Amino acid sequence: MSRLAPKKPSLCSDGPLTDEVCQTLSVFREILKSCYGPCGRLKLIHNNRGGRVQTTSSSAVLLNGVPLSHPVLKLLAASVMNHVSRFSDCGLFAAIFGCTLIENTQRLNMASSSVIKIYRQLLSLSIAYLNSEDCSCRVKVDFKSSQTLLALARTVIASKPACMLTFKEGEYISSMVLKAFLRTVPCTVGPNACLGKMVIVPIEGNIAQDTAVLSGLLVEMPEALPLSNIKRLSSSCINVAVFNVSMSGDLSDAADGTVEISCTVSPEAAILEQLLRVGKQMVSERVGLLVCQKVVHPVLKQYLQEQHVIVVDRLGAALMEPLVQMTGAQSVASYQSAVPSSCYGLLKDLCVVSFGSKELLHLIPGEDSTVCSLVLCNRNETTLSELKIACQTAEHVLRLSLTRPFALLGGGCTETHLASYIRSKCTNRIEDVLSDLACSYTEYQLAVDSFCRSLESLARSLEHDGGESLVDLSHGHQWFVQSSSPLNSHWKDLVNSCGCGLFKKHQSLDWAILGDRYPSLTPGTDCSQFEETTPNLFVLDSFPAKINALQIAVETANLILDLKYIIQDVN
Amino acid sequence: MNHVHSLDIGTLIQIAETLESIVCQCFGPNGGQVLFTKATGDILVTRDGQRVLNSLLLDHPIARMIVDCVSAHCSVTGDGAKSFILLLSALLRGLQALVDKGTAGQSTCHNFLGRAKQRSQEMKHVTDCLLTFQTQVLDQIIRRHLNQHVTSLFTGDKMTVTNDKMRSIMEAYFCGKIGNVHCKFLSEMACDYFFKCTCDQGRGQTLNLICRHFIDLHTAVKGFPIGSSRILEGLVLHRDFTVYCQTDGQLKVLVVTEPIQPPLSDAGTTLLLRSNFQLQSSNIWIAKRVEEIMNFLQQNQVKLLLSSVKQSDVVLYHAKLCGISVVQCIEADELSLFCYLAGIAPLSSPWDILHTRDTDLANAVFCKPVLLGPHRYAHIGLMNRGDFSPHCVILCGPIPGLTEQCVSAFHGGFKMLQHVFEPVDLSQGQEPCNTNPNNANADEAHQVLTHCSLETVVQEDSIIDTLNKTSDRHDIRCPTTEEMCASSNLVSDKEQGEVITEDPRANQSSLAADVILDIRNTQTGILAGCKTTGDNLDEQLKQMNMNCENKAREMGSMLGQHGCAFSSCAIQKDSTAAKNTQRDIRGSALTQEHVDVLIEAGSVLPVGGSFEFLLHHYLRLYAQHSLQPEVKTTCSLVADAVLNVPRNIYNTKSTNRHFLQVYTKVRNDIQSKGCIIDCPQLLESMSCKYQLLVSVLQCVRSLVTIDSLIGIDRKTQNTTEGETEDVE
Repeated sequence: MSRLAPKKPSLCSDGPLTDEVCQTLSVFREILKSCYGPCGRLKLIHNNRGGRVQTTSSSAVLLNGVPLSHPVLKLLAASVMNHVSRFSDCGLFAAIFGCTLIENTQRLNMASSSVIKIYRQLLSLSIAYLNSEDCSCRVKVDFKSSQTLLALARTVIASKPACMLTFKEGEYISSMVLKAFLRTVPCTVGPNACLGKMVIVPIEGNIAQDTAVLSGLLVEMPEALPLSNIKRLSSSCINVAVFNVSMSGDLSDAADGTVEISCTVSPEAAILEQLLRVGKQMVSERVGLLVCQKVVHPVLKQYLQEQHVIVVDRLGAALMEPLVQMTGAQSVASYQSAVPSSCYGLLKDLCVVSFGSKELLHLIPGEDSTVCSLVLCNRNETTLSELKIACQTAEHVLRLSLTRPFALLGGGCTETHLASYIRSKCTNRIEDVLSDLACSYTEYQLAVDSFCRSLESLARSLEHDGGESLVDLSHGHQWFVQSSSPLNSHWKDLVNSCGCGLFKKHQSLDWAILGDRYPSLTPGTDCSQFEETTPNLFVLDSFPAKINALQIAVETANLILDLKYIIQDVN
Repeated sequence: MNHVHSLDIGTLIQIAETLESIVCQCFGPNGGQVLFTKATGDILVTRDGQRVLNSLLLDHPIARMIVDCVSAHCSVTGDGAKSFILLLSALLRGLQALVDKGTAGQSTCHNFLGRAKQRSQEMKHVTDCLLTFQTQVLDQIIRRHLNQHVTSLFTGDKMTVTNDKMRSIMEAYFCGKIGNVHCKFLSEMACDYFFKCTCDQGRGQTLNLICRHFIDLHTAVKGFPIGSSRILEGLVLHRDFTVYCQTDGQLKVLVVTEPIQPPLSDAGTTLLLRSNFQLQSSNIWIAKRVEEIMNFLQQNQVKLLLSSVKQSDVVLYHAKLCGISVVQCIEADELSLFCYLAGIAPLSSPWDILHTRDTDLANAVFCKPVLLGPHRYAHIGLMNRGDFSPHCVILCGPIPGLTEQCVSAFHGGFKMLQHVFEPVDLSQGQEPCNTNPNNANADEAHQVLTHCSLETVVQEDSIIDTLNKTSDRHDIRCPTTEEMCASSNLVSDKEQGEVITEDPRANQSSLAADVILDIRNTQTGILAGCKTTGDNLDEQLKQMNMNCENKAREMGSMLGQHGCAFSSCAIQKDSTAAKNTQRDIRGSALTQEHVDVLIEAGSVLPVGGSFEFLLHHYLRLYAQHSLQPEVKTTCSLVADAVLNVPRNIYNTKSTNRHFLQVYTKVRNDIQSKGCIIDCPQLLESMSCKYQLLVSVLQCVRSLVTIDSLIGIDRKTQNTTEGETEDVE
């Protein structure tokens, strides 16, 4: 009878972390864990009714594409997604760490409120250590050489195996991203200095080695462009006029009132007349290129082309900003009055470039422009879209390194080092901490152990091929051993260098299996070794992204552990 | 009428206890949070009792009624939803036990129906007693006993709040609203925010402004840890600059609510175009007009244009050429807040702009874009305007559901403060209003008398002595001088020491409603004057009253927290009763304005169940000395019920041991030293606690008086009867 159904009562479930939920959580964790790192396995996302198939191992695509059933998982995924939207990197890190922390805590059988307090304290301890001067798992970004920046970019590109790049291609792409990034940094430093823009132009079908960086912008080729126009222009500088108003000849809105037009009047003709007047001005003032964000009336277009002015229309709002930035033009919004000559911008040159089957118009700016285009090539659509994400992430990571000029050691070394640091800090002289947290020594140790084991298991999950993970007993770094190694050999014979590449094996080092109880160690604080040698193959992670991911993961895990009820509105 | 269910107290208890079991999980220092997924799929994390109860969307009409009562209470005080349920279920349980005991005694009726009838009679009786309990017992106990234990938030003569006290009361509030680990950080931020916004004067104004405009004064940012939350100076408008031109230093701001570009034709008019040239020239005229306006603004040093509507491309283009930044599509509320803070009125039509005077322009200290999470917003620094120095809060969280929790906790915290800063009037809980001043006085006199009848009586000389001392020290809070009565006719009725005479009604009758004077002062001279009896007393007092009112005004501003005692002399004009000069000197934290203040503004108690323990203690004491059995039973009923709140606070791992330890310690403290020692540092509002208890008592009464539920089937009702009353 009535369409208004009474609201159904909500579903209220007690104790959200039941065994069943933990099971779901561990499935979720296993999926993410197997994607983690450069050797991670790929996931194919599809629905059984056809549609797009995505191959990926990145958290952004995975969490976006897979609908999650349980509210707790949704909560975790939402906070990871929000982190990724801010920092682009370390999404999987946050998600896996959060999951592992929750699962480990469930096994502890302690009151969640005290565990939460301890985790909170450990988190602030870790953040304080990572931010402190004597932190030995971070390195300063050296802007004098490209090595650290290249390492940062390479780590991001390499951690996305779904791009299907060979080692050499990966190196090449990383260097291209770095090159593009460096182009966006302005040469002059002033109060108004701001970073330029890197525009990614994806080209499908070519091999990754065709990727190139061009300064300036690439725009779609205007149809029916006589090549003679370009040839005629390419001798000197080119005046550019940029319009952001529609030049299609529409009548502007009459607001609330009405406009009555007698039958002799043709508004389109009247406006076209005005447009042509502007066109004449363009021609007389030697404008070589007219760019319009919206549509240009075909009559005007034809007129301008006859007068050897190149017209690019339907540019779209996204490219307007870099175009204005690059040419120094003012975007004009009025064609009623004459365009002031201060609004024109300058271009150095114009040419046609072709990538594969695609022909693009290349707008070449002056020398100190901060706008560049990264023409990204890869074999097929899926790998290209994954590569695009990887490059965007790498560029974001490089940008972040400008705000905080640090990088954290990658390859699991930061995690194991941090874990051993926390363990060593939390065994002695902790009476004050205990009284602050109001918990017993045993409780505290249990929680600390669970926190550190979560960190270590995160480091271990970089290894996917059944190999063993070791930790050295002087620096607390992670070392990998291949699974095929003979059983009766010494660790010393099996390892080469640690996960991040900072340390090579030498006689004084000793190892233990990661994950077992290993003798407590106070990680060495001297990083001098690194200052001297700058090996090429470092693995470095973004400092701001990882710190935020760590905080987000612990906060979300705390939140989930603190939940007493789930109320679901089922209407 | 298809389904008629008789409703007995068992059902009520069942419902209340179900709610209790949900709510108590989030209650107290170890309480957790609730994850709520909305029908839209949004996730919300909350610890707020009201939100939890509302999100349950309950089915049972009684449960819905309870939730409505809770919501009504929370909308007033902004706090106490969880305690409400705890108190309610404890009271209902107590009621059931009482009724069971009452009916078991008299076993005249053996059949079920008869017993049920008897039970309902008994119940009716007890609830009627509960009705009078508030006015007759609770208010007196609050006024006489609990007021000695409160401390005031204010220090100094200007009613300022110290940072420490503010922190303690805020932290106590945040503990109940957000996760434990963050409450210290966020409560400190809330205090900082309050102090940053408050200027020298107009604290109430500031709070009102914060409460009313908190939506515009905060920005929620997702994707960052909560620790990144901060306070920014100035105002963040939640829109980005459409045109941004860098400026340094001070600037002038113009606010418009209409498009600057004149339309081709206005509303209600018709533009008749006869030739192409007309169209072209009108278009050109419009463009010229915009250019003219923007040039005018540039000449007047306007650097920023705020608009509530979208401006045309032409306007933006000319703004850019003139170096004017533009923020458009600002929400009306936000813009009106800006105008209020800047002290200007927005301009509407483009014609007004050319006649702009300097007073129509706002002055800003700076304007720059600020990047908060994914969005870039306009950040504008405003001049400080007397009662509010503009600041805004940035609240970060990993997910929107969590920032929402922080936002509502912040907002609620300020609402709670607003409530704490207001006194509770006696009339509020008692009578709807006292329009007649005589009535008010009579009511007051009644209060005075009841007090007198309950009070320790001291010899007149000693009163004067102590008063002399105390008025010198401005501190009348010590128990012996706290309340005194020097009434000659009552002295004879009383014994020395702590005697409690019951039946206030008798006293009421002895006192005619004709009260002519009340004097608020501590001057002992007046007290001496009061002592003398006779016809000239009236005139004397009238004169003194005038003096005193002047003095009282001075003192009101002079005396701060430490005691502006007042003496209220109620003098009966009646010739026979002329001798009965009633005096009541009440020492309470602070009284400046009204006589009928029950709880002073800013009264706070330590957290951790202090209020409940104290109330329990005094109710028990009262019940012991009470002669009326009804009062005895209601007192002990409420006394036991209030303990349910601390029981849940100290309930760790569902054992009662901790609670019992605390309870024993507190009881010993009260009995031996008269107050609770080493209570927690955090503070909570006394008036909130009091109003909570009053609301719960009212709710219980309305619940218990229902005897059956009538379910109706809408379909049959519509076809057959049409207009039956809808009773649910």
